[in-house]
Formats: sequence, C-alpha cells, structure tokens
Amino acid sequence: MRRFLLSLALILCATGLFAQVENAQVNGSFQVDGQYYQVDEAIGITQENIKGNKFGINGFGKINYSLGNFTAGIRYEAYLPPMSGFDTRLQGVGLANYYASYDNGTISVTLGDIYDQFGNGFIFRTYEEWSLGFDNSLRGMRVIYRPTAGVTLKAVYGKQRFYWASYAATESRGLVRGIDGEWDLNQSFKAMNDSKFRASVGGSFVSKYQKNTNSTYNIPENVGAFDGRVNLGYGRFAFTTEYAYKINDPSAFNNYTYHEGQALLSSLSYSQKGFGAILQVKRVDNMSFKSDYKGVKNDLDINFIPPINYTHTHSLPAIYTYATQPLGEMAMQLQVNYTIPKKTILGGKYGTKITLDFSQVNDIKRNYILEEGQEAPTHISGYDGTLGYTSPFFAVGDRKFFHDFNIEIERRLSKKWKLIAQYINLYYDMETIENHPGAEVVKANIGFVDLSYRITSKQSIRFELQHLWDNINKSNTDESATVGHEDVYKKRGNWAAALVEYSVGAKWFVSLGDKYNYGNPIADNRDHYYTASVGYIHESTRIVLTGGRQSEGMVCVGGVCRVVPASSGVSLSITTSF
Amino acid sequence: MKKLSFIIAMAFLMMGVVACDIIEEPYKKENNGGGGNSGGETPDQVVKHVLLEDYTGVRCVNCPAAGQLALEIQERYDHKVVVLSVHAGDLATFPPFNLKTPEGDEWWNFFSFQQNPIGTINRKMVNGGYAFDSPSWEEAVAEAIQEEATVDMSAEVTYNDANRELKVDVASKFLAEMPDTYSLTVCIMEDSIVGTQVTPEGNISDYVHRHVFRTTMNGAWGEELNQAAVAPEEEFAKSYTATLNEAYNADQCYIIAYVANAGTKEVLQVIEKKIK
Repeated sequence: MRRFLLSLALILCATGLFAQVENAQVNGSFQVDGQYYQVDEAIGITQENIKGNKFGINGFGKINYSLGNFTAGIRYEAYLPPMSGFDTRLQGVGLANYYASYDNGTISVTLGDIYDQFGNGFIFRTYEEWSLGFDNSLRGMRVIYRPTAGVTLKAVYGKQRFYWASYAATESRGLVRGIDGEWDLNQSFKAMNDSKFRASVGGSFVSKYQKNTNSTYNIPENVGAFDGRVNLGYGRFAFTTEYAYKINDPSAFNNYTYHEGQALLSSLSYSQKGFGAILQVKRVDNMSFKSDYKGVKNDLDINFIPPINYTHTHSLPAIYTYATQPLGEMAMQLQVNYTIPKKTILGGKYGTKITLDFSQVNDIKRNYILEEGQEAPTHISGYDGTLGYTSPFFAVGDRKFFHDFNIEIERRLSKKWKLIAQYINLYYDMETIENHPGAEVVKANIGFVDLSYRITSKQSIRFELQHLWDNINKSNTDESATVGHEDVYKKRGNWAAALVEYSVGAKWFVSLGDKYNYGNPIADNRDHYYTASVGYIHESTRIVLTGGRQSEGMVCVGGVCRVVPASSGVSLSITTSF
Repeated sequence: MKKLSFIIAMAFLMMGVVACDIIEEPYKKENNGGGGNSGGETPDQVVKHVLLEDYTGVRCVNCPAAGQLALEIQERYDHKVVVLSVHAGDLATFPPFNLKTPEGDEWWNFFSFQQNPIGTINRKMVNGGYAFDSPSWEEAVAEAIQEEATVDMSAEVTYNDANRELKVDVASKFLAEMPDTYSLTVCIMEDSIVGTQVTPEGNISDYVHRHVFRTTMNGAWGEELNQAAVAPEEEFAKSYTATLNEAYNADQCYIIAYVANAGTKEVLQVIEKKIK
C-alpha cells in the first residue's frame, strides 16, 4: 500500500511537473560578430595599429524562461578580444546579466540586472546597446506596484554595470536608487476610457550615493534629481512635456563645477492619414548624471538625453552624425510628412511620400562667473570649484553645434521601380561633437538616390548613388596647411559612394559597394573603401559575410556614439533567435 | 486613493530630504594641495610616492593640457608624485622628431591603450584596465597617495662627465611580509627637451617636453627581486651601470626607479634622483 501511495505521489508530481513544463516558454537569441584584420597601409592600417590582434570577436547569448507569473533570464557575453573600436575594458567572457522576476499584475518584483527608464530617461534610463558596446544595467532590485487601473509606481535600487568590474561593496562607484509614479487618467476614470481627450502625468526622483574620497573638492555624496512630465492629447493632436532638475553634481565630466542641472523637452504633434507634423524643442543644461563622479565619456551614465535629430541610415550622411551634448544644448526639430495621393498629377499612379525635416542645436547661453582679472575659462562648464556660470533659461547660445535640413521623396515609379531620393544640408561643429580642438566646421551638402527594381516576384536589385560636397576640399585647402592636424582631416573633403545589391527572395543577398573620399585635402587620404557582402537569411537566422575596408567614422544610437576606426579585412556576423 | 497619494508624496519627500547634499561655498577643501601625508608624518615614517605616467604624443593636440595637469599635480603634492611622460601611440612621431622608445611601445601595447593622452596611476588596474583619462588623474592620485607605503627605497647615483658612465645603486626595503614576486625597474628620464608639438593653437617648433622617458637600465619590466615571499625588513640592493646616450643632455637627466608587483604591474614605491 505504501509503495502504491509513493508511486501515486510520484506520478502526480511528474504530471504536475509536465503540466508546468508544457506551459513554460523559453526564448532567446545569439549573436556573434567577428572580424579578421589585415594590414592595409594605403588607409593607414599598419602592423603597429593591429598590435598582433588579428581577430576581434564580440558575442552574446541570452535565454529567457517564463512560467506563469515567473520569468528569469541570463545573458552571457564574450569579447575575445573586442572588435576594433569597442572599449578594450570589455575584453573577457562571463555572465554579464541575470535576473528573476515575478509579476501578478498588481505587483512585480525583479531581482538581478534591471533595464528600465523613467519618462524619456532624463534622470534614469538603463539599457544595453550591442552596436555601441554600451550596457549600464542596474544590478539590484525593482518593485512595480499597480494599485489601481492607470496608476503605476516603481522603485529601483542597485549598482550599475561597468564592463566587468566587481559589484562588491568596496567598489567605489555609487549606488543608484529611484522612484517613479505614472498616472494615466484615461485608464483610471471610466468616463474617460473612450474619450478623445487623453491625459497622463508622471513624476520621478533619483538619487545616487557615492563616498567622497576627493582631497580637493567637497563632493556631495548624495546627488538627487527630480523629474515631472505631462502627456496630453486630443483627437489627432498630442502634446508632451517633461522637465528635470538635478542638484549640484561636480564631476570630472563637468570640470568639478557646482552648477545645477536642468532639462526640458516639449513636443507637439499632429497626425492624420497621409499627413503628420511634429515640433520638438529641448533645453539641456549640465545634465550629465553618472554613478561615478570620476566617470568620463559614456561611463556609468544613469540618465539619457534623447536626441531630436533625423536619423540617417545611408552611409555618407551617417559620417557626420550628431552626438548629444549633456553639458548644454538648445535644440529644435520640425518634421512634416505628407503623402501626395495616388492617381493625381503630382502623386502619380501610386502616390508620393515627402518628408521635410529641419533640426538645429546650439549651445546654451553661458555667463561665466569670473573673479576680477580672470580670463574666460577654457572648459565649457567654467572654472573648477565654482558655480561655473549662470544661464538664462530661454536664451540661445551663439555657438551652433549642428543643423540638418533634409527633404526626402519616396515614390513608386511603376510596378517594378521604386525611388527614394534625399537632399541634406548639414552643419557639424566637429570641434565640439568629436572633441577635436581647432577643427573647422563641416558645412556639407549631400544627395542620394536609392532605386530598386523588382526583376521577378522573387528577385530584386537595388542601386544606391550618394555624393557629399564638403566646404573643406582639395581644391580650396592646401595640403601643407594640414600638417600637424592630420586627425581632423581624416574624413574631410568630397565623397562619392555607390552600391548595388541583388536579392533572391528573402533568403539571399549579395552587395558590392564603394565609398571614395576623392576630395580629401591630404592626397594620402583619397582612398576607396570598397566592400562586398553576402547574406543568407533563414527564418530567424541571419548570416552576413563582408570583406573590404571600413572608413573611420562614428556609430551613434540615440545620440550616444562611439568612434569606429578605419579597418580592413573580413567580417562575419551571425544572429539567431528562438 | 488619498492614502496612497499621501504615501507617495511622503516617499518623495523623504527621499528628497535624505538623498540630496546641497554644497555651499567654499567648494574646494581648505588646505588642499598638500596631499594626504605631506605633513605631520614622523621623520622616520616612510611616505608612499606615486608614479603618474602620461602617455603622450607630439602630434596629439590634447596632450599639452594633460602634461600641464600632470605638472600641477606634482607641484601640489610637493613632488611626492613622480611624473614620467612616455611618448607612445600613433600620434607620437612628427618626422624627423621622434621621442618614442621600444619600452614605451611595449608598455603601450601591454596596457592596450588606443589613444593619447592617457595615463596610469602607479600602474594600478581599476575596473579591468590600467587607463586613467587625464580628468581622473587628480582623483586617482589623491587616493593613491593616501595608501600606506609597503616599500622604502633609496638610490645613489654617480655620473662621470668625462666618459658619461652612469652608476646607480638602488636599495629596496620591504616593510611588511609580501607574498608575490616583485621587480625593480630603473628608468632614465630627460626633462625639458625642446622640439615640435601640435597644440590647439597650431604647431610649436620650440615646445618644451617635460619629464620625457628615454630608456631603462634593466629592461622594460625591470629585474625580479625575489622568488619566495618577502619577509618584513628584507632588503634588496641592486647596482646598474650604463653609458649615457650622447643624445641625452646629462644636466637634465634623472633616474626614476620603482618597485612593482611583477604579476599585476602595480607600482608600490617610486623614487626620482637627478644624475648630476
């Protein structure tokens, strides 16, 4: 009898287990990017640059498991060594992230590595961007509480990832803790459930704690930042605004100045079928917020300043991509999309999409606080150990960092032909954006045509022709004037680019392309950057093999950038998900 | 709902109060500049000196500012900071002017540096790397100088002007039991070499290059001092001779000697002596 009962219990357990396993879901993804580097002295890649690292490999695998209200996941990363242009501190292998979470709809608790953001991220955003080698996840705890429909309260607490550095309590980088509340009125009030009027409000507070070990400055050990936001909408109109304030936060990034931080982003938009318009304005003043006051560049950013610029995907406009300036920006963007209806004279048989976009970023106005006889400071934030400067909130600084005016036309010419054409006028303050003192501003005009032709229902071919006219060129700049400043001329001058891509169904593609910096003022820099790629896509697996040259440039995602050095060789990228 | 709003408001208020340190003037600490143990130590107390390596380049436009910062830090800590400017990297040559060295290249590659200016503070590895950007030097030096000395060093330098023979005797005494293998490296540094430098204002042909690393007397990574663990008060005496390169100005040359952990490369103590 006992044996029978034991067997029954085992069967019941196993059945329960199977039932659970049947309901469980496992998903994940893997990616490996590898590159073989070769010496290519024509584009300045010598044995010395390569330093014996002929291969660079970045890879990750992540697996998520969910069962009912429970989810858990891990992410393993390997950089052996990191590919050229990625921070060398990434070198190594290991379990980069892990988490476990329980969510029953009312309450959610997550332990481990947390990715989240409050509002636009002005005072808190943790995220991972593979193409940048960026990961500022927070290892700790998050609780989300939804007491009633439309109300969400969040609290987070932890320490940020910094490459492979330990999370031990003795580690000097700071702790981050934050709370956030959001109230969606349309969900809370039945009368507003289907209303044309939409409203939600939110507020956050984030504080970092870091022990002050600095012998020179009185560094605040607790730095707090506040944020408030309102989203309103009526019919086709939407208005959102968010304001953030940060108390004194002297750091290596702002030259140890004690000025407060502020950020404002407002957006007004309208959309209907065939027409959309959005106007955005932004002001940022001293809003670098890091969990280590000694951090530089993008190290340990707690927050994120969203860019309000057009994102170019073609290769020549992407040479000069704007990088957000957390120390100060006055920015605006206006974008209008209009589709000329089909079967009209202007719209043609299939209709024509037109996008007009203008964005500009200036510095904020700064009135430096100087002692008698003191000269203007060399650092944009002012003299260290002072309040730095005062800044009238609505005044626009004289220095322009960037503008981008562009118009894009997309039109299907016939059943077989489709055309995309764009003209771009760019202003790019290289000295500020790329931190190249003495570099002249780039004033460029760029045009491209992207033409695709469907050969059969399974085969298509695409042609891309691009040209960039630079204000600095071999015709107006003597090469002798560049001596000693070679760095700032690496990608200057006119460029031409062409690409042809042949696709078979959604499975195979082959492309050949070349970028030619024929107008560079330095004769040695007038190089071709040719590439050839073969790609194979099967369900969720994608394999791309590329050979050729990579020109020096910047990869930017959301205004956060990393420099990509020139390279030559063969690269292989494999991605898959399940 | 009212209760909830009250709880939220109180939570915000509490965090706001406890988690904000508003700093009033003065923002700088008083008496800063002396450094951690610049004063007050007993005469026989061994002071830890700090090696600040500035990896620089003559075509690196941002390097002069970093070099100036290194000098200011050295000045502030009353020369308890030893500055060594190592010319290395892609931007370190301006043909025919060249201050690069094989040892400098070896260090640059070992530390996986990619751009100038960059530095090391006692070659200490922090967060998986040796690199310290110049804005972080001050902070890192302030921390390093407060550490307790574990090695006491002294050096005798004799130099013969006639035949340019240089003899260096270095004594290194360990102050505690130490488990690892340690090495002694003796470098020759030449101060104030005049030559080309690219600056934000343009090229300067008569720029004064300070604290330039020239060579070592015993290899890029020096000579290992021990195999077994070191006992407290254990002393190692080493002697090196060399003929000073004709290109070096002997009046401006110094010996920089340091004891480092041979495995981690962290410098435990450093001394600097003028050869004349």
